[in-house]
Amino acid sequence: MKSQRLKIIGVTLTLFALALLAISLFAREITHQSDLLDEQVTALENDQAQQAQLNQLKKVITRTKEERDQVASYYIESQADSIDFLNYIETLADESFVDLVTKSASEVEKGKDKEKVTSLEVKYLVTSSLPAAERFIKLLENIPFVSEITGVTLTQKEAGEWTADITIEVVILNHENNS
Amino acid sequence: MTNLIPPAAKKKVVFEYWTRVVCAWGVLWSVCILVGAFLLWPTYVLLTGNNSAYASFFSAASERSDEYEELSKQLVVTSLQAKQIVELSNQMKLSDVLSDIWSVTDQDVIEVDKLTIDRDEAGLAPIVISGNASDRKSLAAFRDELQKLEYVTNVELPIKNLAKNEDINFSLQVLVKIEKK
Repeated sequence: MKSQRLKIIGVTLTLFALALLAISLFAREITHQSDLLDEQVTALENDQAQQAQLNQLKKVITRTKEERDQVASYYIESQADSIDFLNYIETLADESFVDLVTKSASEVEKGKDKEKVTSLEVKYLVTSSLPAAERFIKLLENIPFVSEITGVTLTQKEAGEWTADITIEVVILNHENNS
Repeated sequence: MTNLIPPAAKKKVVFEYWTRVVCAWGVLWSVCILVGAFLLWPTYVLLTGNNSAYASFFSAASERSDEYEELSKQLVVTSLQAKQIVELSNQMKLSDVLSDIWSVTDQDVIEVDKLTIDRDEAGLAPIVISGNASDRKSLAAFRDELQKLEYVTNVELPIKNLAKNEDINFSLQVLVKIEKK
């Protein structure tokens, strides 16, 4: 009698546990599939809405390629570009008849987060007459690079001879920061 | 009739009775739950079917969305670069400032030895000019001329510079209007 009772209780409990397990698994799987479907439907709706814009964007990208390349070309992008920049300035100095010494070149960062700009900061010492130094400074301000002269100190050494301590910063192209 | 059963046996019978009642309800509930689970089956089949049907469209849509974001990013980057270039080209040029200072310097009476112009976060830091003036009057005239420059807000000439009347070594600070960045 007792063993029969235990058997009945055992069977009932097992059946109940199996039923609970089955329904909870099903419910979980259905919720998951339903979320997935919701996500897919939303993505497809967004895609349909974006389709026309995407086509337009592609046209703009194709049409403005030259201009975008032109804009990017004013930036220093790699180490090779930095060397080209330094060589370019030295050539400019030779052509302007000024004596140029590169005192230092280093990378500097300004701004925070999305506004962060990385630049190559170069310090020069120029020795020449005052008009030549001024001409050279003017040339530096008009070089085909995204740059700015951040400091100039003109000092008279001897009669007619001046030195100019010039600090120039050239912006380095950094896609991640600029986006 | 149950009164005929001895009290000890009656207790066992009642216990047995309630055990079976609870078990019967348990089995009944289990069957109901299993039927409920079975009824969810069509919903599950429908959802999985739809999901697999949409999967290929979803993957293509995701690719297009990534492409859209990438293209947008390219345009944003170029816009920011163009903005930066325009901002830099609109900045006050140091060579122009130098030219203006030389143009108001009477070289016969004012001899500039050192001139410092630096940029700071706001625009131009105060310009420091030091040198020698032949007399107090010409130094005051130089200060007035500097003051007349459009972008100059003030020229600070320390009083000690004016102690002597002739052959004055001076150092003055030219304060410049803050540029909008």
